[in-house]
Amino acid sequence: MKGTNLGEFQELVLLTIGVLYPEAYGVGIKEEILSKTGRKVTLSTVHAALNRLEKKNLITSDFGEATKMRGGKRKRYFTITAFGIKTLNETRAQRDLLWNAIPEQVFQVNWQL
Amino acid sequence: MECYSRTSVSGKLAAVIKANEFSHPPKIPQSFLRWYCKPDLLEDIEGDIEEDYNKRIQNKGIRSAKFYYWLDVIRFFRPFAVRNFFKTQTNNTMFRVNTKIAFRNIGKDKLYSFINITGLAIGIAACLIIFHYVRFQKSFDKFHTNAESIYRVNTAYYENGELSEIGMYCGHALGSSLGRDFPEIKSFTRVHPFYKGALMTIKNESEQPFQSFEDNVLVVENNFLDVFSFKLIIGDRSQALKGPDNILLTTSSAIKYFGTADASILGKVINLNGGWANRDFKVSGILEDTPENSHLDFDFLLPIEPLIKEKYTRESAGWGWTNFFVYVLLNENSSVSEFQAKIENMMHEYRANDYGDHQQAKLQLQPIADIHLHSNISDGDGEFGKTGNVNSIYFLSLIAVLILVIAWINFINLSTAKANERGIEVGIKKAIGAQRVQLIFQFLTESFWVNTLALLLAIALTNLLVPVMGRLVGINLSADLFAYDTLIILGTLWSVGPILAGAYPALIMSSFSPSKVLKGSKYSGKTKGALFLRKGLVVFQFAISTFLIAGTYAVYKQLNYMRNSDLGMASEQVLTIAGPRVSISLKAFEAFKNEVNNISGVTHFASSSTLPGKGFSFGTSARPLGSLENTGKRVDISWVDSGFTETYDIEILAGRDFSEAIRGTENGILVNESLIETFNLGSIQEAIGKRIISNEDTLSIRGVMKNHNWQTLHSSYNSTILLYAYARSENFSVRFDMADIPTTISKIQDIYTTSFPGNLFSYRFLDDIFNEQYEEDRQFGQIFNAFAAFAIVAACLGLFGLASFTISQRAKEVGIRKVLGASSKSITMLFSRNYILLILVSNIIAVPLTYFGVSLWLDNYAFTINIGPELFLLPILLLLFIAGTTISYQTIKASRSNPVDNLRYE
Repeated sequence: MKGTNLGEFQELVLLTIGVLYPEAYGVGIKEEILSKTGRKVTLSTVHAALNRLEKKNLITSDFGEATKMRGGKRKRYFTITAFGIKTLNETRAQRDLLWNAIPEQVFQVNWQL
Repeated sequence: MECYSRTSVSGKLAAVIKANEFSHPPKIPQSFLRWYCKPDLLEDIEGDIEEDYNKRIQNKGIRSAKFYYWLDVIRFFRPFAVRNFFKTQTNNTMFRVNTKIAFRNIGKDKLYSFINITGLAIGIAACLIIFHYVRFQKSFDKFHTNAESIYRVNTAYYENGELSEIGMYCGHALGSSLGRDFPEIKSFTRVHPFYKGALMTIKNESEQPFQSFEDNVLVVENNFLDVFSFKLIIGDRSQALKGPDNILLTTSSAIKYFGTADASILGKVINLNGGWANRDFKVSGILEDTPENSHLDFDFLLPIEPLIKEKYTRESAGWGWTNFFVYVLLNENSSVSEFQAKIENMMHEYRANDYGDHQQAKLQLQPIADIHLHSNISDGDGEFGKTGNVNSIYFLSLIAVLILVIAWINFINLSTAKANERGIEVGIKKAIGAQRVQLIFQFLTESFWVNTLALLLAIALTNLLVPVMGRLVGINLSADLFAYDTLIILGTLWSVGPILAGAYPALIMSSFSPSKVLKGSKYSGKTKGALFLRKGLVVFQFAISTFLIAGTYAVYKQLNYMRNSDLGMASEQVLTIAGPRVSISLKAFEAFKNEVNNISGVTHFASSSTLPGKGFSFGTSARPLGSLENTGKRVDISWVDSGFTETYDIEILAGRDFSEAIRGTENGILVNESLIETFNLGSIQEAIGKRIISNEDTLSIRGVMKNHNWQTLHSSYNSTILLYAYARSENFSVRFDMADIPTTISKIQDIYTTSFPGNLFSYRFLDDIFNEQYEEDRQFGQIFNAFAAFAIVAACLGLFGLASFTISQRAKEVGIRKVLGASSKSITMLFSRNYILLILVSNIIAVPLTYFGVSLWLDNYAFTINIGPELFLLPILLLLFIAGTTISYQTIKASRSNPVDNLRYE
C-alpha cells in the first residue's frame, strides 16, 4: 500500500514520539531530535509532520497539563497508534530486507575510502 | 520530556522566572498567529512557540527570543496551520450555497458560459489594453521628481492683438535674466539642440577609428541633471556636466561606440565634428537611455558654457539668436499664475526695440507634463520630439468604454434570454418560501462569479496583448496590473460590473410568478417591455459596430489618401543624401555634383537647406512692399539651388526658375500660389516682379510655383518662399530613373567618399522621409482597427448566443412548421429576417453618428477624403455578412432538424 510509506522526517518524528512515551509533545520532540541526532529542526516543521502523521492515523493526541512557561496553554501529547506501530514495523522490515540484500563486498570495498 | 521543564530549571532561575511570571511574547506576531491559525491547533502551537520563547529568554536573552518568536510565527504560516479564510470570513451560508449553484449553472451549459465569459473578458481586456496605452500617453514627463514644478518658457507672438504664433525658441539671455530677476525660480536650465548633428569619431589604438553620425545631441546647462531626473548610471551627477570638455552618453550609444557601458569608458575621448564643435570631448558619465515617455530625447549631452562662450560672442546674440529653449524649476510655494503674470511682458522690458507698436510677445509657462499631449506649438515651428494628440486619446477612451458596454449588453441579453430555463427553479424556490430578495441575491452572485471569471481571463489576455499592442504602435509597453490606477480600474470593474450587468436579469428572473411558471407557461421574454429592451440593446450594439467599422474604413482611406495623393511634386525616385559635415569646400561640391550628374540614370541633382517632409528652414513675417508695417503675415522660407524645382518636378506657373547664369540676388525668389493669394498680389502673371519685405530685406518675386505639399497633409499650403543659393551643403537630392537602384547608389557613394573624405554617406528615399510624418496617424489607425475588431467580435458573440437561444426556444414551432410543409429555406429566412431587420435599424442610428464622428476626425487634416455613401454601405454590407454567417449556423441547424425530435415530448 502506497500510502503507508513514511517520509524520512516523518519516520524520525514517529520514532521520537515512541522514545518520549508517554509525554511526547511539540517542543519536547524538537529538542529530543536535536539531542539524539544533532539536527536543528524548526517547530513548524515538527508540527507539520505531526499533523500529517495524525491525518494518516499513525498517531493520536490528547491534551495534557498547562504550564506557566507556555503562558497557560495546555500541552498536546502524542502517542503512536496500533496502526503506527504496524507501519513502523513494516518500514523497519523493508529496511532490513534491503540491508540484508546488500552483498558483503560492498562494505569491504568501501573501507578503502 | 515534560518533566524537563520542571526539573531542569535550577532553583535560581526558577526564582527569577517566578518573579517575572514569564515574559509576555510580542503582541503583533501573537495576534497575527491567533488570526491565521486554525482554532483547533492554536492552543498547541501557540503554547509550543511560547515555551520555546521563554526558554530562549533564559539561554540567549530577550532580543533573540523575540526575534525567534516572530520567525516561528511566520514559519507556522503554512497550509496545515492556516485556517480556511474563505469560509470563515464571508460568514454567509447563502453566499456559499449561491456560489455552488452559480458554478453548477456555469458548468451546465458550457457553450453559453463560454460565450458569456469570453465576451465579457474580451470587453474588459480591450478596456484594460486601451487604458494601458492611454496611461502611457498621459505619463509623459511625469517621471521627473520635480515634474510638477518644471515649466518650459514659451513665447506667444501677437500681431495687432491677434495670436500669430507660439514658439519655444529664445535667446540664451532670457534664461539668465529670468533666473536673476525672479526669486520664484529655483533654477533654470537652457537647452540648445546640436543643430544639424555631429560626426563622432573614436580612435582605437589598434583598429580603424569608429565613426558615426549623431543627430540626437543636446547641449545643456550644467544643472540639467538636477532639474530633470534622467538616471545617471555611471559618473558623478553633480560634476558630470561641469567640465567644458565633458560629454555624457546614453547606455545604448556607449555600447555603440565602446562596446560596453561600464566605468571603464570614463575619460575616453570622442571627437566631435560638425556645427560649432570641432574637437575632443571626454566621457564623464553614462545615462540610462531616455525613457520612452520623455519629450526630451537625446543620445548625448554636452555642457552649454563653452558653446555660449565660443559661439554667442556678439552683443546681439544674447537675445537675438533664438536657438535655445529654457525650462524653469519654480519654488514649491510660488504661485504659477502670479509668476506668469509677472514675466508676461518681460520681452518688452528687455527688448522694447524688437517689436513694433502692433506687435507683442508674451512669455508663457507650459508645464512639462503638458508638452506631449497639449503642446500648442505646431510641428512646423519645431516642437521637440513627437507629440501626441489628446483628441485621439479621448477617442480611444470612448472606444474602450463602448466595447465594455457591448460586453455588458451581451451579458444582459444572454442572461435574460436564458431566463425561461430558470423559471421552474425560481417557481419552486418561491413556492417553498424564498423571498424575492434572496433570489435577486442568487442571480447577482451568479453574475458576480461570471464577471470574476471574465475578469481573470481578461487579466490574462491583457498581460498577453499589451506588449503586442506596444509593438504595433512602436513603443515598448508591458502590462502593469499592480499599478495603483490599474488596481482602481480593476476594483471598479470587479465591484460595479456584476451589479451593472446582473441587476436587470436578476430583477426579471426573480419576478416570475410561481403559479404561472409551475403550470408550464414559459417566460419567453416576450412581454412587450423585455422584448423591446432586448432588441434595443442589440440595435445599440450593432450601431456601435457600424460606427467602428465605418470609422476603421475612414481612417484606412484617409491614411492611404495621404500616402498616395499628389503632392504637387515628385516624391518617388528621389534619393536624399545628408551633406558633408567636415572639410566642406565649394570645389569638392562642384566636383561631386558634376560626377553624380554624369552617372547614367541620374536625371537631376539639387542641394537645399532642408527637405520636403522635414520642415522649412525658418518661418518669419513678411509683407508686400508698400504695405503698412503691421500687415505682416507668416511665410516659410528655405534655401535651394537652381536644380531644385526640376529635381522635385515642381511646376513653375509664371516667371522663371532659378538659374546659375544669373548672379546672386538677381535670382530673386520663388513663391507659391498660396503666398500670392495671402498677400493679394493679383494674378500669377501680375505678381512677377512685385517685392516682398521680410526681415528688412526686399525680395523680388521672379517666379511662381504651383502649390505643393512641403509638409504633411495635416496642414494646408503654407505661404512659401524659396531663396536662391548657389550651393547648400546640408542636403543633396538626386532623382534617377528606376533602373538598377543599388548600382546607382553605390556609384554615388563612391563619388561621395572620394569628394568628401572623412564624412559618412547616408541616404534615404524622400517618400520614406515624407511618410514618416504620418507615424502618429498610423499608430492611431492601427489601434483603432484592432479595437474595432474587438468590438465586432464581442458583438457577434452576443448575437450568436442570442440567436441560438431564441431558436432553441422556438424548436417546436420549427417542428410544426416542417410538419405542415415549410421548406428549410423558408425557415432559415424566417429566422434571419428578424436579425437583419435589427441590423438595418441600427444602421439608421449609426449613419448620422458616423458621419459626425468621421467629419470631426477629418477636421485634423487640411486635405481629406470625401465622405461618400460607400463609407456607410461597406460597413452595413460587412455587418450583414458577419451577422448572417453568425446566425446562419443556428438557423440552418434548426431548419434541418427532424421535427420528430422536437415534438416527441409534448
